[in-house]
Amino acid sequence: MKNSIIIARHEIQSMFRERTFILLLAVFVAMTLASAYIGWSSQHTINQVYTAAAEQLRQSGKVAPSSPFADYPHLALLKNMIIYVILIGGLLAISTGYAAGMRERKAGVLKLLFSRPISKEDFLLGKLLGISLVLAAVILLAAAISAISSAFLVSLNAQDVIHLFSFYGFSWVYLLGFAFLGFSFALVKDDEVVALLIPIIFWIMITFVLPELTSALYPTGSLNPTLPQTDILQNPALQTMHDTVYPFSISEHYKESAATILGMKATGTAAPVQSGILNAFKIFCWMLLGLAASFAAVYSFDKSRW
Amino acid sequence: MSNSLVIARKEFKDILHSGIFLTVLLLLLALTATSVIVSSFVFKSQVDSYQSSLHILKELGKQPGGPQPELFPLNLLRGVIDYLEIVGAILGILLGSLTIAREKNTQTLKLILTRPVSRKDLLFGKMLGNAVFIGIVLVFVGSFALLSLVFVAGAALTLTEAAKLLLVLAISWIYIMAFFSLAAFLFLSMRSLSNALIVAFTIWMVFVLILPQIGDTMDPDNQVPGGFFNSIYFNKEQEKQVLAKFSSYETARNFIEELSVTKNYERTVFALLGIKPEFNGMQVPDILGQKLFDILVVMLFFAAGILADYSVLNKKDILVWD
Repeated sequence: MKNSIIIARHEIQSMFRERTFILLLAVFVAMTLASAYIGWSSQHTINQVYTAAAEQLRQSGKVAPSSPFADYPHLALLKNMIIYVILIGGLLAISTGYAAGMRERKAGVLKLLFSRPISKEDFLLGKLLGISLVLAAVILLAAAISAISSAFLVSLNAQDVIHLFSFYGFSWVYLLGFAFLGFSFALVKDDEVVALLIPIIFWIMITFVLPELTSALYPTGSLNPTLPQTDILQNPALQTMHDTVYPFSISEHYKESAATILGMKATGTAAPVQSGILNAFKIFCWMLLGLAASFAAVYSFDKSRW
Repeated sequence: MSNSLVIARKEFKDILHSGIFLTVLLLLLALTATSVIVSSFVFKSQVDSYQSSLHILKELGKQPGGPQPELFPLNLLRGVIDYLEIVGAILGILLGSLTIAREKNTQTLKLILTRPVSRKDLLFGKMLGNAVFIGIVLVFVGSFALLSLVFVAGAALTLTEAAKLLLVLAISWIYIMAFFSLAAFLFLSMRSLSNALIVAFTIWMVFVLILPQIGDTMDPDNQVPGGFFNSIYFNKEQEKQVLAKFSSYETARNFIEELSVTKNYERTVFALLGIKPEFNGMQVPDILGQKLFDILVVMLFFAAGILADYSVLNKKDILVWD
């Protein structure tokens, strides 16, 4: 256990010294800062667009339907963060896990490390702990930035703050799955580029391909935090495809659960939206899957090889 | 010139031998087929929905309000373009990184330059080999899309549509080559290969995903599932009238989108494929004329990449690599 803590501490120190990690972190932090303003500004303008549209309807003697934005919760201004976690957070997590798995290999110190009384279990535990704590620090920073920037734009109550931190906690679990995946491939693949490419392909499949199969969303449509209209799924073929693939569409489960946590109407679609608890459970399963891959990678790798 | 050809041939062979070739090609082909299948199901669903509304209206003794959905085969390729935007750019980055990483890892650059090979020959050869490879991948994707259209959607292309598809592939080639030259530049300039790869992916993320995403989510119509204006029963004309009152907001949104080369690429190819309905009946020269700015931005991005590669390769300290 003591060895694991030393490895974890080293991992955290090394990560925050890595320029590429800092670069991705800077992009993530910048977008976290921007997201509250983008959300507030677009919501503000869209309310004005609705008022102008309603006025136009009234002038032509028609009754204006009620505003679809009337009961938007305060935290809806952070809806873009859901997408930034999926996009930037996903890549940040993969690069964190990848760097953790690749560091000793590239420095050629694996043999040296295991010549000391360190077991594979110590190594694995230390690495996983290090990755988890690094991501937790990133998420905490993002949560603090979001809380402060939102408080400047809208009045947040205690419940909003709890929801905001729950959203980031949930995002942390989602990102751990990708980080563990990046770590696993960095250990098992000989080629540096392929080791990074495979988790990125997984990320593309989860972020863009599965939502296209389940909700007939165009790949770039997945970048919109507004949940899709899925009336189209009345088509039997699309419905069958949806039913088959949907349980595995991790990013959609994350989007729906995150929208629910932020107080947005995740059930506003005609799709068979599963209960929030089940969706959240699937995200935990995703993280556990990544964890299992990490265990398998560490136990299968030959420590004398690199 | 013959030196460049030798380098290009070697480059091409290296790519074919690497696992990346088959992985990315299969991925792109699978994504092409998936997109065409899903799009044709969506179209069939729209036709069914129209037919069922028509049936109900007839039973009520009313006339149908809108026209029947019309199949424009090239519209079904929208998802393919989205994937070329995302995965195509990744392909460019991977090839650009590998072409330099190979020399760095095997420490062969000095050796090559001790031979009568100029740096221009080296750059041109490497670009040519990769350009041919990207061209072949795009021909595969185009042919596969064509086959999917015929066999899955039952749609055949006219000669004009085929020409439009060819132009789309040509612009896609420039777009992917732009990311190739960007990655090559980063790998030439930076010492650590994995750092260069992560920086390349960060730039990719900003240009390909984040900037278009910001513009997209600022769009008032994208705030409600199925479209805001649809939800309040507004037609296109009414939508334009309302949005005209928010011209500065729309200008800012458009500016953010135009910062992304991906959005310029997307606007050009979407126009050629007729994804925006107003371009459907338009002749190719008219479309190209309207999208000249977007085409120029994509070409400029590529040209800037080549210049950057050339200038960094010409630096004397490039040989410090070894």
